[in-house]
Order: sequence, then C-alpha cells, then structure tokens
Amino acid sequence: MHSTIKPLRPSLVATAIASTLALCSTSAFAAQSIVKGAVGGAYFNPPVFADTAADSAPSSTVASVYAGAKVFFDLNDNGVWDTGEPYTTTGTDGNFQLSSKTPAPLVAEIGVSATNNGHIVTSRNVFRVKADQISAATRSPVLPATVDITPLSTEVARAVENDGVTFAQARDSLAQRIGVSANDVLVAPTKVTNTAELPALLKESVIDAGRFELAAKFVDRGNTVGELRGNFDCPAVAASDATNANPCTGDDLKTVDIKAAQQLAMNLEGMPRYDYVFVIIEENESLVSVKDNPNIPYINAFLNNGGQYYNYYSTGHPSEPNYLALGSGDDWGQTADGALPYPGVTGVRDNVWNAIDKKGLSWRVYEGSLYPSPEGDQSNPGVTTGNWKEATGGLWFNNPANKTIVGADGKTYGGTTRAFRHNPAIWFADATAQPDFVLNSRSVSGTGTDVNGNPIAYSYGPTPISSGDWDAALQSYALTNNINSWWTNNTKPWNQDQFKLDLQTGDVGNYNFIVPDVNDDMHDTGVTSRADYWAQNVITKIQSSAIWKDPTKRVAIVITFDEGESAQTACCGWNPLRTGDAPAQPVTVAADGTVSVAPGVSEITSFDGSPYVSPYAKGNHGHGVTLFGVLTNQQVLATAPHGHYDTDYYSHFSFVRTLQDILGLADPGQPGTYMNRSKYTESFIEQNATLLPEFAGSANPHFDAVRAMNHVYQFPGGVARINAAGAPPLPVTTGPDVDQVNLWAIK
Amino acid sequence: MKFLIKTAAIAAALSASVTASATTFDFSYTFSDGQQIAGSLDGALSGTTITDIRDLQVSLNGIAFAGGTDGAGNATTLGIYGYNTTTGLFESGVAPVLSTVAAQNNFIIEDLNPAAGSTNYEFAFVNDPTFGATIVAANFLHSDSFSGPGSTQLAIDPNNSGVYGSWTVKPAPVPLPAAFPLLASGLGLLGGVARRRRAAK
Repeated sequence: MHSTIKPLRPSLVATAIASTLALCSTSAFAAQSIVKGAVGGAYFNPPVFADTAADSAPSSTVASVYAGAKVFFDLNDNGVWDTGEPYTTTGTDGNFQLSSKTPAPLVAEIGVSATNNGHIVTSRNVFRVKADQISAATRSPVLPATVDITPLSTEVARAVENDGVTFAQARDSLAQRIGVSANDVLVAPTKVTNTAELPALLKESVIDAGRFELAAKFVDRGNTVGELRGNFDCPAVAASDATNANPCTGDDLKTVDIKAAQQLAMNLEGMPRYDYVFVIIEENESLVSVKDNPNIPYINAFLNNGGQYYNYYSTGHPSEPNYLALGSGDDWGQTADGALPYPGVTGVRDNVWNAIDKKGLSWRVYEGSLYPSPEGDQSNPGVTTGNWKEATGGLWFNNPANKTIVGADGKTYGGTTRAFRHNPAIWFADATAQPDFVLNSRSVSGTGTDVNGNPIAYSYGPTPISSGDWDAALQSYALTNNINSWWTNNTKPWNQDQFKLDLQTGDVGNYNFIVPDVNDDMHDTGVTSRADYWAQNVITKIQSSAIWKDPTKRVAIVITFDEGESAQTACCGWNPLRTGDAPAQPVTVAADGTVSVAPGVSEITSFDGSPYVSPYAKGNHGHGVTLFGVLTNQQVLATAPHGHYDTDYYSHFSFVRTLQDILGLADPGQPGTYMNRSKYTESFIEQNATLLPEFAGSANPHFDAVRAMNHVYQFPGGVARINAAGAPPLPVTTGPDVDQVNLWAIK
Repeated sequence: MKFLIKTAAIAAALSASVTASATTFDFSYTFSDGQQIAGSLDGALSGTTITDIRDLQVSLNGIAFAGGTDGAGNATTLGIYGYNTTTGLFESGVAPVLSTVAAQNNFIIEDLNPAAGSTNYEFAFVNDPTFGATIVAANFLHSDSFSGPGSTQLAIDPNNSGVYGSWTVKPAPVPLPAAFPLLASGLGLLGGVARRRRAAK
C-alpha cells in the first residue's frame, strides 16, 4: 500500500503546516459537514370507523423510524436530489451517516419504497433540516454532528423560511408550543428518554407528517399556488362566474415546489393552522338582532375587537339541521327538530369528529347543565326500548329526576334544559361508536372563577343572577350521590365545569364545541345579559389559561348562532331558488377521483335499525344571516390584524370547510376530500353539474357555492350583492370591502 | 584486532541505520463497521506519545489521502493538527496527541488547502470529555453515493461507551529487502579489505 503513495517532501509539509497553523486560530476546517442520525417520527395507526362499538377501534401512535429513506445534502437548497449531491439510504434502524465537502441543508426523501416502523409508506413525504440546525449540533466541523431528520425538524425549517426567525427561535418556539424541552424537540422520538414529553412529540409528529405528506402530493400532482391558497377560480376560471375580481393569473398559475408546498400545507386555502379552536354556539338570532344590541355588550365588544362576517348564513331551520351541518357539512335533509334519530346517520359518513380523530387530533363537546349520571356509556340505552328520546342514563340522558334538583332561582331542573339536539356530534353512528366519544363529551359551566381562581364580574353591570343557575345544584347532586364522570371512565368525581379544569391542565381538545343550555344560549331567554355573561365567563376562562396566553400557541374563539330568525333562505351549499329536485346526496369522490352520488339517504336509519325516510331530496334553505365572529390570541397578544370584517358569503358548510383547512383535515389540491356539501365549490359544482341538478339555474354561482372563509373573493365595485327575499339589509351590500384581510390571519 | 574493531565499527554503523528506520511507525484503525484506516508516519516515541511527526501517509479502505487539489485547483497538503478539548476546535498552538493508547488520542489528519479551508480527506481521533470520544474518517472527494458495502467513504465510531475499535501503532518493520544489499556490500567491502591485507603480507 505504501509503495503506491508518493512521499510528501518534508519542506512542503512543514510549509503547509505552518501556513495552516497561522490561519487556523480557531477552525480552519469549517467548510464541510459530517452528520449522523436517524430519519424518525411517529407511526400513526388510524382509528377504525364503524357504526358499532364492537367493530370500531381507536387510533394508536408509536415512535418510529423510516428505513429506506434517501438522505441527501441539498447543496442548492431546492428540496430535491440533484446529481452530484451526496446521498445515502437509511438502514433498517433508520440511521444514516453522510458527509459533504460543502455545508448544506439535509433532506430525507421518503418514497413509497421506504417503510415507517416496518410499514410500507403509501404516500411520499419529504422531511428537511436547515443547515443552521446542523451547525447548532456541531461541536467541531470535522467531527460528526448528530442530526435527526423528522417532521418537527421540517416544521422548524418551514418556520425559519416563512416567519423571518432564526433557527434557534423557531426551535424554541416549537418546543414551547408543544410543551417539550428545546433539547428534545428535534430528537427522533425513538431516542427520547423523557417519557413525559413523548406524547406531545408523537402527536406533533403525526400532525406535521400529515401536512407535509399533503405538500408532497401538491408537488406530485402539479398543483398551482392559486388553487392551494384558496382562489376558487384556480386553476380553471369558473366560466359561469363573471363577478370575481381576483382572477387566476400571475403567481397563482405557478406550480409549487416542495418548499412552497410545505408552506401552503400549513396554510390550506389561506387558512393558518390553529392549535386550538373554541366555538361557542348561540341560538336563534339574526345578525341584525344582535349586532350592536345593548343587551349583549360583551359579545359586541368581542366582535369589534376580533373579526366579523356580515354574510354568514345558517343552513336550515329549525335547530337540528344546523347542528348536523356544523357537525358534518351537511344537514342530511332534515327540516325539523327530533326528525332524525340519534345516532341515526349510519353507514360511516364523513363528519367533523371522525375527521379530527383520523388526523391524530382531538375534539371535545362541552355542554352546559349536563345531568350527572353514573351510567356513562357510549351506547344509547334507548336502543333497548326503541325510543331514542327516552334514554335512561349516561351522556345520552337529559333528566331522569327533573323534580329533585332545584336551581339557584328556586326552579326545578327542567328535562330539556340541556338540549341534546344542540350537540353536533351525536348524530353520527360511527362517531358515537368510537371509544373517545364518551371521553370527549364533557361539562361546562358559565359561572364561577377563571382558571386562576379570580372572580369573573360582569363587565357591564350587575352579574346576571340566573347565569349558571343549575350548576351548583347539579354539582351538589353529584357529590351527594357519589357520581363520577363518564369522561374519566368513571374514575374521577363529577365536575360540573370540566371545561375549566381542562383549561387548567391543558386537556382541552384541538377543536372544542361549547354548547350552553337553552337558558344561556338565547334560545329561551332572548338577547339578554344572561347569555352575554355566560359568554364572558367562558371566554374569560379561556383567556386566563396558559394556552391562550402563550403566543406560540394559536388559539381562536368563535361566537356564532345555529340560525338566524329572518328570511327562509341560505347560501353557500344550497341553491335557494330551487326545491325538491336534488338527487340522493351528497356527491362523493372516491380515492381514484371517481365522482358519484353517495348511497345516501336511503341508508340513514334510526339507531334501532328501523327505516327512516329522510327528505334529503327536498333540501333545506336555511334561515338567513346570523352572526359569526372570531377573536384569536394572535390578535390580542401579537400582531395579527383585528377589527376587520368580511362581507363575502359563507354558511355553516363554509365553516366546516374552513375548519378542515385550519386543522389540516382535507386536501385543497383534491377538492373531493372535503366532507359532504363542504366540497361544493364553484368549480366542483361546474365540473359535476349532471350530478348536482339542484344547482342548475343558479342566480349566482358564487352565492350558491362553498368556499373557505378566507376573504379571497373580491367583489368588483358596484356589484350588488344578492340578498335573499325578505332578508334584512346588510351592513355592506355592494362593491369591495375596505380591505381583503383574512379574519383568521396570523400576520 | 584492528580488523575486529573495524568490523565492529561497520556493524555498529549498519545497526545505527536500522535504528533510524524505527522512527517510522505504522498505525491503523478498524471501525466497528469494518472500514479501515491505515497509515504511517515518522516521529519519535516519547512514552506512549509520538512527537515530531512528519512524512504522513494515510488511506481509508485502501484509498490514499493522496494530496491533490481543492475545488478551485489549489494544492492540498496532508497534515496533522491538535485538538483543544476545551473549545472543541482544532487550534494553532495545540500539539496533536497521537498515542499508542487509543484513549489518549486527540488529533486530526487532514488533506486540505489551508487557505481555502477546503478538505479532501480527514481522519480524526478525538477523546473529548464534553463531546465524547469520536473517531471519524471521510473522503470528501466522493460526491455521490457513499452507501453500500465496500463503497462507503465515511466511517464514524461514536464512543460514548468507552469501547474503541482496533487501534494499533507500532514501529514499522525493518525493510529487510533494502538492507540486505547494503549488508552484503558491507561484508564484501570487509572481505576485500581482508584480502588486500593478506596479499600485502
């Protein structure tokens, strides 16, 4: 071996060493990179959905590594491997080691030939590491840095590129947001020894990996910026809509690369990702009856401080179809309360609750004046009697002893104080059959202190004495009878305000639907200070929590109503001018892109299996415009714009679509992935006109179509808005808004 | 007697030449994945440490750290440098520690263009109380796939467990094929002198 080496001349060596030592006062060897690590994350085993508990299964998540992933130094930082860029392939242990003469970002290309925890990867993904992360992990440039390539390292890279922050700031922010140490946040979960941190790391890994998988699909399909950011005329201009002043041109026509796609995947249709969304649902008031109404000054201050939608339509009448719509993006043809049994939507239908579970996120429905019951069970006991209104225990139960509990005002607890039909999760058999249904159905009180024990005085006068009047009585009843809570599997005492406790412990869901009782939601009491205080009490609890106060967490609070009390009309998912000619609906899109009419209403049956005929084909045409306001902690604590309004047309279907964007539940590059009627965009209706005859003869396809609540659509000047017959005048009815601010915007 | 003295003097001279060749040391390190560093250097053994190192020759898996040019065409040179365990950097004024005992090593052998800081090859053997012991060898001239048995040009042994791969440093064997002609010529010279003396008598 030595014989092949030409000996160096000592004088030359001496000169070189001298030169080197003269130059390398610290590190003269910096222009290189050596890394070793793992491509890791989480393996998410999705839940199994079925109409019965026996056939259902919850999700599970474990720390994992990716074998067979191609790891490369991305010398030109374009996110794809180019000839000449050093690469290697991860072994069965997910590990790799790689060196580069030039420092550069790292990329893991996880193709369908790779495996995740031994499971074949079914959809390509791309994880990244910023060069600054490698630098931060480097003790010396000539020694290997340990760097893992994970969904979270990718999220940090994305944040650095989008938010104008340093690597360290992005890393620390992510660590704070999910509640783990900065030392562990970028470590492959398989290596994390702090078991207390593992659940948060795994959950974020699942969420981020899901988003970045979407991004890879955007690239592979050649999606354009316009269609992903929610310009509904992209990529093809809706031929029937001549009113959009924001056509698909310029950058909107560009196809995305992986780095741009990863940004858009965290901003689907222009809707930023939020970590927590709280929706407070009120009852039966139109926008004009609550806007600036002096009886509800707190709610109006909330609206003025945040953002307001001036053309938000309910989708049906009476309550039940609206709650169905809020729970699934469809009302399944209901036109009456108590018309559809619960859980009567069978056949494994898309709904908000299962969609959230399917992505590794969490949800809760918090209800006021829940009756303490020792019989928490996910099945409706009423099934044994065949009468769904006569359930006898657990969360399905309204009031077994309505004469035995006396409220603060001396009245006895009414059997319908808690309106079960106002719970938007109960209708779906496959959701109620999931084990988490019982665990997610919890209590809330609109009285008492904030999460830190501070009193919550009404800001606009004496605290209404009747607010939360039942809560103390119900709590006392639970204590007297040693009743535990079903959401703890009956392991902990009943808590009439589990919501506050969850805020204190951080155990609220990513999506939280908050249902006051019929005295606190304006249903029975009208637009009064009672509902105003209830909202203030609950919102103050949210805003006193560490979750809200942490600007690294994105928190949104929504106040809206189930329906207005005005014209019998709707928009956005309906053609209000036509009735009675819709086929069995909704239209569904299979994974291969095949569009068809779902085997729908005929399969909807009551919980006991008896036939149930839904009037789906007749449709429902809403109940006019109501209030929708959103306030975020980014507006209050940071620099997000606030105090703006949006006059575009939206409905409950639009909100469900928006929610899918915010939580990352659907794929805007594949419109059919949005659930039920929330997929009915202008372009979708146009492309599937034969399957959607109810939209034929539309007076305005924009008015009739669904879109994200992103304020992208720009009304040209002088364009008269459509107002349904009988609807009250709207604050702004013609021309563009003063600005096009997205009311959910982060910056 | 004079003959014996002269013979002894010549033998001593030959012996001295053999002693001088003992300042050449061979060293090798076998990584846990089987990859191998091999090389030689000239130096003086002081206790367990070799000083005054020169004439370095190193190879990774049989590919020599040959010296060449960097990406800009500038010459690269093979050298050995010391490691500062406090700063974690290879700094001027820090003598390399190349020892017969693996746990004492703190050096890097690099083929680089110092002016550009551009490295073609490196072999680092570090015992850092903060970072941990690490042995790494890299061939940066391979800009394509490093994967696959036999083709890897990057070897890393993290050594947090205190277990090293196979590290050996030993004097290079006497180059017998080269000494024999010298010895033969020396003996021939002695024989010639003897014959001349006998003839003179």
